Amino acid sequence: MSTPRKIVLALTVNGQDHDLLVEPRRTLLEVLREELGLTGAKEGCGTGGCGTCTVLIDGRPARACLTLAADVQGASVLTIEGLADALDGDLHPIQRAFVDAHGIQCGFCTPGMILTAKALLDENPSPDEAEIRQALSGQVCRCTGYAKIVDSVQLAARRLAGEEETP
Amino acid sequence: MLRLPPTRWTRPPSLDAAVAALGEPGARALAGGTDLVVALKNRTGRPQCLVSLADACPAGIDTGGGGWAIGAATTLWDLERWTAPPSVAAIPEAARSVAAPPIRSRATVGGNLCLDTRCVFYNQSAFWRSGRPPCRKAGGEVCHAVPGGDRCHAVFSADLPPALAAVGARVRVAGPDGERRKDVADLYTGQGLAPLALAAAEVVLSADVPALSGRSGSAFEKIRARRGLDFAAASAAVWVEAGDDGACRSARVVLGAVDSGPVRVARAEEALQGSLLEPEALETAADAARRAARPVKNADFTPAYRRKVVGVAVKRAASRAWQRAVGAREASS
Ligand SMILES: Cc1cc2nc3c(=O)[nH]c(=O)nc-3n(C[C@H](O)[C@H](O)[C@H](O)COP(=O)(O)OP(=O)(O)OC[C@H]3O[C@@H](n4cnc5c(N)ncnc54)[C@H](O)[C@@H]3O)c2cc1C
Ligand code: SF4
Ligand code: FES
Ligand code: FES
Repeated sequence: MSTPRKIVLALTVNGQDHDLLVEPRRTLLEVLREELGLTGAKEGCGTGGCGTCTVLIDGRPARACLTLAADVQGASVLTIEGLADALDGDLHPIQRAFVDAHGIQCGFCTPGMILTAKALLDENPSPDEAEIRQALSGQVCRCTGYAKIVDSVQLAARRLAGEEETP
Repeated sequence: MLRLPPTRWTRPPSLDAAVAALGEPGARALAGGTDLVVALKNRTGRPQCLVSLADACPAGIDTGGGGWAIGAATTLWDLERWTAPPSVAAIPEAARSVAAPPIRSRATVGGNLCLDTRCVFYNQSAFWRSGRPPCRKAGGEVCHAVPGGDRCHAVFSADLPPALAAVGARVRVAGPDGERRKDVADLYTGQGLAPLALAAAEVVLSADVPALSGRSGSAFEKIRARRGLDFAAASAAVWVEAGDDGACRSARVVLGAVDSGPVRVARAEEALQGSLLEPEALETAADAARRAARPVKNADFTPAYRRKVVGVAVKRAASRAWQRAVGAREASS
């Protein structure tokens, strides 16, 4: 077999445009972590079953470990690094809520949890508990037992709706 | 990192170009990749060229022509948000039960219809599998699930096909010899080794759902370990139609994940027809489903458990489908 040709990949990541030369077998996760140095998205299982690699592709949560970079030509990708305010470094309200409601323990699942929660709240600003659990049903956490994560998303929803002040 | 083997990749700009590319030796269709990429990482599939169908298959639900043509490139994320009428409500219900939202955002209808069969001895990393001789599905001559067995019993556990079969959908397929349509049920061979009745270089273009009686309802029920991520231990899709006398006039019952293809159960349908879906009728239908299931020791649950819960799935799906049918009939009268 002839050596696979590399492809030119145009990608917007956290608002920045990149033109990359990548082998077609590379996943989006490999490109983010190894080409762009964005290590917020983790590889837990590498086969879709844990959710630690979840990023937003054009606003929807997706497994970066199962997505071929070649298949997201021209897409806009948001990783956890792109969520905090780029100018002053202030945490995004969802990040802040995860800190305040103790939704983070070891932190390995957190980037995927927060980005999945963001996609949920963008589509449905006041989800009930069942909707939150359904949205996060693909995100495995080995530490928190999920109760604090659900609390965190509910707190974020109230703060984003202006029903509760961020201290 | 778990990495893919070196492979070529192409994204043909049209259906004709995709069919031509798939005619090359070692070519393999790629849709959302949510199953195929795992297979590549596990080295259970080793194509030389991935042919992305992104520009070859239609996406979205086309309502022209009476029923609905669900394009093969439609994501399950979009399909689960479809506000379907009661007659075909099993379809978004089945879409919603697949994996989890960040997988459904990329997983497609075509990929779900063409999902490979699965087995605990096969869907594993190359390292895991290296501890035993390769089984039939991996090119060897033994079966670890049914020692001494003469065929592969890998399980067909895609969730959309039972739902689509229950509502009488057909698939539109295109290949080197042009287009053809066939019943969803006829897309499957029932064989673990080669579960799809597709010729070389054929692609699924759409699932065509007919407009059904306004007095009918359908439902999909899936039993699994967790409410996210897991494949079915057993599943059932049921479509029922209420007659003038208020009893069930016709029914279709299709099981998932208890054999190497979706299983239609005529005896369960007979048990529901003419009934009011009272407990006795449901129990007879469940019993027929348990008899039709052929689980072997190759999934997370024992065959006895899967056989038992496929009956539960039938009862739940049938009850919900019936509520929808009766509700639809009342709403229209
Ligand atoms: C953690 C996890 C959990 C999962 N849980 C479930 C589950 O509960 N239920 C379930 O059904 N699935 C499940 N899946 C499998 C998979 O995500 C879905 O079945 C999905 O719908 C596959 O679609 P895809 O577009 O990603 O297919 P791909 O992976 O791109 O392709 C799958 C197969 O279909 C072929 N193919 C794709 N499109 C076409 C076409 N148009 N014509 C002909 N052949 C085609 C490919 O060649 C390949 O063999 C799970 C996957 C993961 C990783
Ligand atoms: S049923 Fe047997 S032959 Fe088929 S995949 Fe499992 S172990 Fe292999
Ligand atoms: S690393 Fe992608 S889902 Fe586990
Ligand atoms: S905080 Fe440790 S895995 Fe979730």
